[in-house]
Amino acid sequence: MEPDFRFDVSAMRTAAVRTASGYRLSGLKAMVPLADQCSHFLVVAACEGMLDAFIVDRRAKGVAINDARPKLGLRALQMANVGFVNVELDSNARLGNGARCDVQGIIDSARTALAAIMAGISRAVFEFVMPYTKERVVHGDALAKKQVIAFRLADMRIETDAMRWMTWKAASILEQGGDATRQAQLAYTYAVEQAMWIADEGVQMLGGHGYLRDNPVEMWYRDARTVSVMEGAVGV
Amino acid sequence: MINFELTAADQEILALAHRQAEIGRTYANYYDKHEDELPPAEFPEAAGQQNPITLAEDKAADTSGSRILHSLVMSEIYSGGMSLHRSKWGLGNTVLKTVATSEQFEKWKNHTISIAITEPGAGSDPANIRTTATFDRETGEWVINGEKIFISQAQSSDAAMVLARFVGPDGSRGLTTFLVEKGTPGYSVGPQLKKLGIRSHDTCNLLFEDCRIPEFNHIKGDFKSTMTVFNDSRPMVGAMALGVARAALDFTREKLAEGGIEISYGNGVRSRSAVADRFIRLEAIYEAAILTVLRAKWLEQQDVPPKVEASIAKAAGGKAARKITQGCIEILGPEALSEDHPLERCFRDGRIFDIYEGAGEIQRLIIARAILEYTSRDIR
Repeated sequence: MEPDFRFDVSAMRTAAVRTASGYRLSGLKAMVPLADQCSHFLVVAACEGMLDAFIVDRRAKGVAINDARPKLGLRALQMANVGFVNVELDSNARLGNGARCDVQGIIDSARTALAAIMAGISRAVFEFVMPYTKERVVHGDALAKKQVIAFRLADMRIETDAMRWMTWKAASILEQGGDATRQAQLAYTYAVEQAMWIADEGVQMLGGHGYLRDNPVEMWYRDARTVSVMEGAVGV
Repeated sequence: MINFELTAADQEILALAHRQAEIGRTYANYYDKHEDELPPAEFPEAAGQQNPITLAEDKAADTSGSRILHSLVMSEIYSGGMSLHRSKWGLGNTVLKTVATSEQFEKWKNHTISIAITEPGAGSDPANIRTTATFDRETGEWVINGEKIFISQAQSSDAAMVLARFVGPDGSRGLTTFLVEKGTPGYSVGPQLKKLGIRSHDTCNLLFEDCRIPEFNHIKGDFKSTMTVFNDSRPMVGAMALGVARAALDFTREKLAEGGIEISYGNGVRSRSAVADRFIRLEAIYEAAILTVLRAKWLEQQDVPPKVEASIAKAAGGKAARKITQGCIEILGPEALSEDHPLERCFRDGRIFDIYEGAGEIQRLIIARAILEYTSRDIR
């Protein structure tokens, strides 16, 4: 991930150029998890026209680890920007030694994992709001007995099922060493829309109480939006 | 290990279904434009062709399962828009199989029996039907009066399984079914209905005017047992809906490619054209829905009758057909409106699946009752 609103995994600005002794790496990475705790970074950078992965010691000259930047959701996982200014690397810092790193594979795995997380968040919302809507009485009857609420719950069930199967399918392809790019993209894209919708409706079902931090639905609302835009963050 | 891959036998059977769907496709346009003409019981090309569904049953051990395959084969057929042969089975046959006596089953097991439930005032609420069956003590016959609408296989079937409100010889009342054979005096089939889509499908209204049938034709099921026929058919309707959606997606991808737009799955949102992004989202809807169909059929394959999952499959498939056929025309623009191309027919055909055999709203009622542990008294 790079700190630019136009960022996309296919247009990486962080770059590594070959030197006499190895590589020189420059660029700025954003949303790096565990930046304050790790010993090394795996940095994906454009190198000789393709994407490659480099292992960089946090103590190397030119590595600047910034303070964690608080963000909307997933607040327990602190993330910081990390700058690389002409960091000199040995040639063996390049993963695969020129055999190229399967960055697409990393991205496919990341998308699949994020789809799984989003399916989990969705399920958390669904399982939390169901008993609430059965208990809460509005105009003489349980919220859950009103068709609009009941139908939204039914749709939550439909979509959490669908997200699970799509994630399983992408994961099974990865497990078997196949090309999961399409399946991971579809699972991810679907989960992005559905998880956001489910978390959104979850807040709505709790009304004012859904807005308070006393209840977890506002957290899931923030987390759903956060996880659903992180497709570049994990390892890239 | 969890594995979604099709076996070699699956692929062979689906390839056969696909080839037949391609042949069917050559007739789809004609019957779409000639809704008053019934397609033949079998097209000439069907001669000598194996039925993929029969093949799936024969090769069951090598496949993922004949029930799973049945849904995928139906999906293929619907992507072509026309089956090579008319189905010999109707939902009325399922009622017969479920509740008939062995004598009744023996008599009519080889008939194609349509199901006649829906009426002008009762669609999603079939308990509200008004067709009556009154017992004539003098002749020992039942006399049926009423109107049924939107009946599939109306002209082509050999008999109709009619849901009626009965007043029995002992004065008892309720809902039950009667088998009325073609040609019975007082039973008439109207002309083909003028539909938005699925115009090649045989759909008419039925009229019963003092139609007399013997007591033997009383198939003694009740309302509940009659409605169970839709449990099995729900995932199949989902699969059929997705066949139409698949045809729309395939056509759209092909035309985009011809225009130089290839769909890349590796890139993120900000590197995609708007058109590619829309296409991927529609594909994701398809994928989500077909997996819910497979889930329901997989459970059925394990002999675990899937109630909620069946409704999920039908709801997901029905919605997907709407969204995908609408979205594909939006992507391709005005040229897609032309009858020269199959996409506008996919749009018209695709709209029915969220309506018939239990509208999406009814599926959601079923799902809601199941997940909330509510009865029909709690939520209607």
